[in-house]
Amino acid sequence: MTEHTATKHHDTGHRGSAARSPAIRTSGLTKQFGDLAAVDDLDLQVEVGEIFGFLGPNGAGKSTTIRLLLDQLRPTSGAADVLGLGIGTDSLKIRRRIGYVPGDLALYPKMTGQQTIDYFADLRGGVDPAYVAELAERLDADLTRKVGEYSTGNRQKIGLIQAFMHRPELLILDEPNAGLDPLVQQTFQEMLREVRAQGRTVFLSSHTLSEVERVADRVGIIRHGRLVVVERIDELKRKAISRLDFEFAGPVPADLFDAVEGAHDVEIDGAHAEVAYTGSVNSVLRAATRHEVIALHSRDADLEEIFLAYYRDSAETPAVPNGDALTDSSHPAHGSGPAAPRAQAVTQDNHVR
Amino acid sequence: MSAELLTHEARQRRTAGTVMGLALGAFGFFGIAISGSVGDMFDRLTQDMPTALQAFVGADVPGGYVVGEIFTLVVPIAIVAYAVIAGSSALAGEERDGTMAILSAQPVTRTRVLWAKAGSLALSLAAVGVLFWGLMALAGWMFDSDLPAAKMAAGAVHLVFLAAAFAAIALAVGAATGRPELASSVTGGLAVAAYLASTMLPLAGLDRWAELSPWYYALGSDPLRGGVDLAHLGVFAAIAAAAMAIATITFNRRDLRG
Repeated sequence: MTEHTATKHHDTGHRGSAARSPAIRTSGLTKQFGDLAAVDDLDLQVEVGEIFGFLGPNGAGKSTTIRLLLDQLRPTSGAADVLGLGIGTDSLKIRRRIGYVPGDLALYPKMTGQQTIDYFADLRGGVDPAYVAELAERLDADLTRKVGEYSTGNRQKIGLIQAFMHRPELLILDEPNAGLDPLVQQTFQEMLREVRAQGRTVFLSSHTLSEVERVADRVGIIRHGRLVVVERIDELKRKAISRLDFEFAGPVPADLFDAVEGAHDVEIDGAHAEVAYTGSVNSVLRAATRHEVIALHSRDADLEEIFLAYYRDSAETPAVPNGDALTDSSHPAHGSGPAAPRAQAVTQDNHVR
Repeated sequence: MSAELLTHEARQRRTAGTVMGLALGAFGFFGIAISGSVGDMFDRLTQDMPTALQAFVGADVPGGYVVGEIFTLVVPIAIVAYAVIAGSSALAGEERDGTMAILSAQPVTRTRVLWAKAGSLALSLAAVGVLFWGLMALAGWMFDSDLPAAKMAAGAVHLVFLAAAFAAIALAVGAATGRPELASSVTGGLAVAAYLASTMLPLAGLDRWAELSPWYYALGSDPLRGGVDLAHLGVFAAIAAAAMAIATITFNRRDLRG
C-alpha cells in the first residue's frame, strides 16, 4: 500500500531559496505540433519531496511535457520552471540538478554499460564510483557487455543508474519500468522511496496505474494534452469502489443490502450475491452475516477502472463508457460492467478543469 | 566537459576514419607504386592529347595519369562521400537513433554538443588525410616517385579541407533539420552538382563559373605542382565557418527529435 512520509515539503537545503520553490511548476504550458496540441494549457505543480505519478495513455502528452521541461522542445506558449529555474533560460542549471530516464531509452550500442555510465558521469563532471557500483549491484545490472547486446531491461538499468548516480534533487522518469522484471521493479520502487525519504523529488510518468500506485503520493492524469485531474492516491483509493462477492449457504432475500448505506449495484442470484460499496465495509458485512456466509471474495480493482474511465473521458466529451469497453483484459474475472457508471461518476466529481 | 564530448565523439568515429584512411592510403600506395610502369605507358598514350583533354583525364600532373586520377577523381570523391556521410549522421544521427534524448538531458549546451561533433569530424578527416599521405609518401620513397612528399602533403591538405567544407555543410543541414537522410541527400547532391560544374564548365569555356564550385579549390588550384594555396584553403574555411554559424543558430532554436 502507499506509504506516506509525514511531511511532504522538505527543505532539502540545496541552493538556498530555489529549494523552497516547487520542484516543477507549469503555467499554461502548451506545445503545438501543427494542428495538434500535444500539451494543451497545462497547469501542474509538483512539490519538493513527493513522488508524483504522471499518468496518461500513450500519446497523451506525457513525454512531450517532460521534453519541454528539459528544453528539448520549446513551448508554443506558457511557462514552466523546474527547481525554481526557468526552463528556457536556466536549462543547463536545471539539467545539472536532475536525473532523467527517457521513454524508449536509446544508448550507444557499441559502448559497454560501464563505458556508457562513465561517459555520462564525465559529462556531469564526475560522480561517486562507489555509489554507481552500489546502484549496479542493487539493480543487478551487468555493466561489462556492450549495450547493443543488452535486453530492454538491462538497457533500462543503465538508464536508471545514469539518472540516479549523481543523487539529483529531482528525478524525471519517463516510463522507467520498461522491461524490468518484477524483482527489479520492487528494488526500483524502494529506491524511489529512499529518494523521497531524503527529501528529493520524483516525477514518474507511466501509462499504467499499477506502476505508480504503490509509490506515488499524488497522481496527475493527462489526456489529449490536458490535465484531467490531480489527486492524492490515498484519496482516490478511498473513493474507489470496492466489490464483495458472497457465497451463502442458502438463498438470501433480494433486498438484503437495500438498507445498507453506500451499497449499490447489488446483484443477488439465489445463494450468490455481488455488491459494490463505497466507504466502510462494516455495514455491508453486518447485513451479510445475518445469513450463513460460506465464501467471501473481495475485489479491489476499481481504482484501475477509475483511471480507465479518466483515460476515456474528457471534459469536452463526457461519453459514458459502457461496461464492455471497461472490461480490461487485466481483470478478466471482474464484472466491471456495473462498476463503470460509478467510475464515471467519480470522474466527473474530480474534474479540476 | 567539452573534452569528454570530443573524446567520446572521436572514439565513435575512430574505426570508420581509420578504415577510410587506410583504404585511401593503400590506394595511394599502389597508385604511386605502379605509376612508374603503368604511368609511363599512359603518359605515352596521353602526351599527344590536347591539353584540355589531358587535364580532364588528369594526365597533366606530376607523377602522371595514375597520380592524377588519385588526386582528382578517386580520393576526392571518396573523402567527400565519407565527409558527407559522417557529417550528416554526426548530430542528426543521434536524433535518428534516439540517443539525443539522453545526451541533451546532460548538463551540456547544444552548442557544445554541436562543436564537439564538428571537432571530431575535423579530427577524423585530418586522420584520414594523414594516413592517406603517409602511405603514399612511403610508396614515393620506396619507388622513387617524381612527386615529392611535400607536394603529396599539399594535395592531401587541399582534399581534407574540401572534405571539411562538405562535412560542415552536411552537419549544418543535420543541425537545422535533425534528419540525417535529408542532410546526406542535400549535401551529396550539392557535392555532385559542384563536382560536375568544376569539371564540365571549363570544358565549355566557362572557367570563371567553375570557381563557384568548392571542388575548383581542391582540383583546380594544382597543389601537386604549386604546393598549398592558402587563399584557396581560406575558401574552404569560409564555407565551413558559414555552415557552422548556421548550424549553431538553427540547432539552438529548434525542437530536438527522438
